[in-house]
Amino acid sequence: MRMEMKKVFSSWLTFLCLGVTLACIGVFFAASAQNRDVLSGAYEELLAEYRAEYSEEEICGRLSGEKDRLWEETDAAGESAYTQKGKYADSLYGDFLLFNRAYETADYIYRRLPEGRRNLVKDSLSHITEESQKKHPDESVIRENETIIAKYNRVIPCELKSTGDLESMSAGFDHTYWDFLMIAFTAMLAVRMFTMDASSGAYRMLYSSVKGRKSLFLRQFAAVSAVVCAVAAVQSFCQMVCGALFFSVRDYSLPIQMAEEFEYCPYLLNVGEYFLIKFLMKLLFYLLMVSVSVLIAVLCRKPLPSLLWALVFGIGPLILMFGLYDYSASENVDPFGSTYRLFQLLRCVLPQSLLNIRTYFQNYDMIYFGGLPVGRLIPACLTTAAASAACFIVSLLRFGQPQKR
Amino acid sequence: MELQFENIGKTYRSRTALSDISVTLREGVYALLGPNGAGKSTWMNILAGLLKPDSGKITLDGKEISAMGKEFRRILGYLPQEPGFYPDFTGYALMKYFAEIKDVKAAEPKIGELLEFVNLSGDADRRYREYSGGMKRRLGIAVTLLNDPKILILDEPTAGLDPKERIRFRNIISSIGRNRIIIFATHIVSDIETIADQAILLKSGKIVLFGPIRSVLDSVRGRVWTLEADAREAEKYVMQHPNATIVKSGEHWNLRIVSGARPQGPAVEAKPCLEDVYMYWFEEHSLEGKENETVSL
Repeated sequence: MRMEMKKVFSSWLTFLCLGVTLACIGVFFAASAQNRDVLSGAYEELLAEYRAEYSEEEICGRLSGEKDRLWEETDAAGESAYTQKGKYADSLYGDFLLFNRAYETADYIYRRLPEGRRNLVKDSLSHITEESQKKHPDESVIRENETIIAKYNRVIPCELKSTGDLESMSAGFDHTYWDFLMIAFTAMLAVRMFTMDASSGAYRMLYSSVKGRKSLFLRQFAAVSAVVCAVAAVQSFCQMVCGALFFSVRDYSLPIQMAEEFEYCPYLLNVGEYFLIKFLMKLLFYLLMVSVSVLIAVLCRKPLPSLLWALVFGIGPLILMFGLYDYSASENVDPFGSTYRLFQLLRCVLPQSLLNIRTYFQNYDMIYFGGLPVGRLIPACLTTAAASAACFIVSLLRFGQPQKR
Repeated sequence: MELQFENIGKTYRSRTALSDISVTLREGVYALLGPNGAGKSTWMNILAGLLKPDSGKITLDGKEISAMGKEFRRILGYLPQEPGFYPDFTGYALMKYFAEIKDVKAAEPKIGELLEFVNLSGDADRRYREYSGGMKRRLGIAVTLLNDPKILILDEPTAGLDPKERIRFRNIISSIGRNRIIIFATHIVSDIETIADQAILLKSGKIVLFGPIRSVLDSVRGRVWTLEADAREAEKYVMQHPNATIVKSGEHWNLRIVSGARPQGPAVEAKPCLEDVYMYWFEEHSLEGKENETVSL
């Protein structure tokens, strides 16, 4: 495969694309550094101290009291509150901000999170009771509510720790522009690799050689996939580094629900597992993108039309999903409207959905297959894997057959 | 080693590219001669496994080559009409790549040897895009010979080469022509006389003549004439024999005419060359009555 790698990197275009991709990562890095959480160190120190000194029951009250006291002190100090040295932060006002944040976190972890989930369970219980009392109860409603209870009636093992700022950490690296860039990069790489034999004229000599077409196909496919996966891995690694350096995302063993945006996540997952799933889903999509681009290149054999078709396949549905996501996330969305239903359906089948998996983990997001509750991510995953396999097999067969004409 | 073609046929839509080709080849150099569109490349591509024939089969020592698969490709070397390689690879890198593709063990010394053989060792580190047409051809030959093929297919190998390059190429082919079946397709007749043992003349997808070079030349013996004429007479002869070759010699014109009947005037029978064979068998007007004729010599 070393020589196939050489083929990938034999053009300035590959280096240009790679340069743009790496520059983009650099920009994300710089932007993250600019938005870094300067109080994170002091904040963690504060949490550690309270965790060690007080019990769960005491923490909220203590933090609340200290927060109020600091507010009054800040108020009384006036302008000097910004210059006067605080116990944890650089200023008194900084200390107030820290305590306010710590109180919000403690309040969320010890009160709002369990309460919100308890309420969901209660609601579901009452729905079941209500439905069961009907003359003709709807079994599917009962089943769905039973699943909700099973998912939410579980203790999330939280402790007073900071998950870090997951949202800011994702702001740059998970931006849609990055997805567009990766799609273009993947398509370019795959199309070039699989049309260069035909466009250079080398294919006749290659196909009549001992190793033959299938071996050549597999090696080329592996080379393109390896480069794409490596770029995706570098991007994820940089995101982790950024998270650790600038947004205090260091403890990957904390439950994902400790980040407020995942309050209603129905799965028992930690932050690390969430990021791993996110990375794997992206890889799955990129592999599909490789397979589709290869199929188009094998069928079309001309670089430019192949590239255009591959881009249409990759970017078209992404723009559609982007638009639908904007609509479905708006406040006035009608959950029974056709657009919303279309969005939910597409989330089950469209591979592009895998590029933004956050929505699958933020709420109860299950559908029923033969009576079994399944997260919407699973069919999206299976569809993508099946489509990748189908494209791979068809292109391998087409690539591996002598021409009839 | 016996390479046998049995009733090979290939049609593109309504056009017949090859029709009922049956021939047996043994070790030696075979020239496949025919005009453009005669079916030479189709035949080469079928033998190389790049095209499927519509009918017939090809066997090597009794085994069908499509069933032999890798085993056949291991002893096959194919230099297509326009080989083409990756423009940003150096000559050496291309050799290395193809050595891997052709599963050549301990390729390094072999690569050096072949680059030396085709006189490219000094340019091995230059990119393919910087090579001249002749250098590209020579590199193509070196790549083709990497696996020491027992069956070598060369499709129009001298097209686009300057005379010096062509001579160099002929020498290469002559030096490797032992214990192999070398088939080279061409429409440049001068190549054949110096390299080939036997010639296969292909016209409209059919073999019209097959045999040793001497016998092929004999096929037009008594049909080649030379004569000297002035400008007016020469014009008259050309009207009668459009395939006539004319060379100006001082005030006069020397004409070489291929014709079944002796031309009128002071025509003298000449010793045939392969160009005459080509003119006789492939010139449109000279083929009347020979369309369905197949001669094995």
